[in-house]
Amino acid sequence: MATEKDWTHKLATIDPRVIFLLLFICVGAPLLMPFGLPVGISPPTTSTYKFIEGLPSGSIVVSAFDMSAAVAPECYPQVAAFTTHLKNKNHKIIEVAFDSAGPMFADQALKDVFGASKDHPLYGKNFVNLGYVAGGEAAMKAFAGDPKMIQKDFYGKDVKDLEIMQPLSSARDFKLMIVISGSQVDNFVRQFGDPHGVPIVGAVTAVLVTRVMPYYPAKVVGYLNGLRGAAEYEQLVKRPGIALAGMDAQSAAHLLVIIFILVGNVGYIVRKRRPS
Amino acid sequence: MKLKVPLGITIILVLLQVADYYFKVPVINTAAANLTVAILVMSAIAVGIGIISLTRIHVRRIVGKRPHSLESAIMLITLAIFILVGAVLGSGDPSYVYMFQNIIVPLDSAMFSLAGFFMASAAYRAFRARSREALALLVAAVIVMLGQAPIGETFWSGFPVLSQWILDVPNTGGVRALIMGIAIGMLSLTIRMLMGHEKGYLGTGA
Amino acid sequence: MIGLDAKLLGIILSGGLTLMAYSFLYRENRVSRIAEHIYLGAATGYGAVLSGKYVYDNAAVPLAKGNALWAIPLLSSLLLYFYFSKKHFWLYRLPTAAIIGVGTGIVVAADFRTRLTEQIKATLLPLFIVNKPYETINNLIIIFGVVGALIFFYFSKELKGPTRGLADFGKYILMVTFGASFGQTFMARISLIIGRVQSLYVWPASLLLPLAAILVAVAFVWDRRKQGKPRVSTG
Repeated sequence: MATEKDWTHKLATIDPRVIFLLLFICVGAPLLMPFGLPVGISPPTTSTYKFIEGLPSGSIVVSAFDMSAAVAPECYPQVAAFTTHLKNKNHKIIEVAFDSAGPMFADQALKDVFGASKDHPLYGKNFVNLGYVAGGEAAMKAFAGDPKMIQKDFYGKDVKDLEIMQPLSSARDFKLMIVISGSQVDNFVRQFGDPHGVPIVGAVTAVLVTRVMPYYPAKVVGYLNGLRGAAEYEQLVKRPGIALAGMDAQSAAHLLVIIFILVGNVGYIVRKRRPS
Repeated sequence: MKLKVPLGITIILVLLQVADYYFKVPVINTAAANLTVAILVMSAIAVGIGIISLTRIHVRRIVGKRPHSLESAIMLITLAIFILVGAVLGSGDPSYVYMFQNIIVPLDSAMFSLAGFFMASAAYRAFRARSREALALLVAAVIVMLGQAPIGETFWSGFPVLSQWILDVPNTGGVRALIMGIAIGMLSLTIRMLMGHEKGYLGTGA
Repeated sequence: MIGLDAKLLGIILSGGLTLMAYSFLYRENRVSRIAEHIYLGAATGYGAVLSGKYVYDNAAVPLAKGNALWAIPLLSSLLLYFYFSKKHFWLYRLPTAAIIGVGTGIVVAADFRTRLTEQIKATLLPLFIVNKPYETINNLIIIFGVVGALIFFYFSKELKGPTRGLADFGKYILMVTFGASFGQTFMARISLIIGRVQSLYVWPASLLLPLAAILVAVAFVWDRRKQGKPRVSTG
């Protein structure tokens, strides 16, 4: 019979703050003292890389930011990695945001990869940050129907004066759309993928990956699985960054929770089998 | 009248958008496109309702000297600063970007990440294989966690493969069924709106 | 341009706000509440500015330049603010109905294709492929998984025989789905913690870590002396 001094009871009633502290240590320690575990490349990341590699040079690629600031630690490393790849392949990048936080990350990505955003000599020719389009899915439909419906970009420049926007009449002119999202990709498939045939890549948080799967690989040709996907892509584009640096901490935290689950279940089974 | 006119507006606009998707008729397509663009502006202006509501609640808290008035005052001051600085300097100004990167990003991601700690605690306290179904859930979760972290591959090269298979096959089947169910639900909700049975979106008194 | 001093101040500010939010893990306290309220004010203000910019650039400026049609949505949107009037609340319903009507129409028209017919099409996989047992088994799992999971949610009549078996299979497929979802969700949240801790390690924010540890230790000792046993935080 379980008594207050019984080890199973003590295990079951441990202060949750001990668990928080253990998790914090498991995340914090490997960041200071990395193990250097190798990070393999998963098939969806390879698909994404190959698709971008296979596009003709100068293709118009849209980076659609549907992410809030909350998911920046996962999604921004992905953005930095694939924007580097797009730059290396000389693709034209149109950044547009359907979440109000998006334009800031779009601006940051341009600065990190190109060195400058609106002040860069190639701004407006090779890349542009169109800013936030309010309205959710209605905004996506409007943008898909006419990308030039936005009057001014994020920095206040007239969109009709930007060279990169001239040849666009609808979403059919997009060779690829990379959706950076923490909430859903269904709306992008509904408004860009199915009606206009735009291939979609998901640079998504890990939470969203299970919901991307029904569309992969027919509509969503590839995806990056959260921070792990960002780490894989950093290796592929040879631009190691914070995602790769965080993988050991990810491993330690996952191992810790699995140990928690096992210990918890061992205690449960032992208590269950004892005569009451 | 006060209810029938808004219901009528909803019905007409739903049918117009559906017609726009399935018919290539220039009049319908142009009307739908123009309405969509107009609605974007209206949705953006609707944000003001939230701001006014929020301000009212917190001002009442301060004036009534209720608990947490200090926090409410801090909230209102922060709100005012972000609106004023953004309106005067513009959202693309480096100073505004600085405020976004150093205030909103750390707070938003810190609060979201708190769930990770509570999930770890919940996994320890509540994640029990009480039945075969729970065992299936547990095993799938453990395999996916091991497969997605590099350490899983270090233990056994099959973990990433098994994890990817779980996502590609059984997960696809399950999620596909769920989203098909959601689509059917969305369809039935729309039919209810078209029949005038669904009035919750029109606010109190509907 | 942001100078070096401002950059360092920004790092400290970012680290300090992170630790204020994380203080909630010890227990709910005024510091974490202040952090939440700062976030609420900042995020709302920021959202308002971006929305306002959109309206200004895409409606107000074209109206000022002579495109009079923009007056219609701009004036109609003002009716939304009758939300706060008890007497004229019904006026709020007019633009709301328009927004809901257009939004619902856009989603449902496309959803029928994307989340229903296209998904049915994607589920129509070959039941048997010669010399490819792996693909065959995978296809069968997907097909029967989808059908079984859908049947599982049919509650109008008691399921018996093969239908019951299919529903049970669907149930296990759903359990595996939820397990995968848990694994992925946990991975995502840990990634966010990693991001925050990485930012805390950047100097001078790293100076805040030992300070935070000391404060938590002091709070712990204080709680023990005050109550004999520290209060357990939610979780």
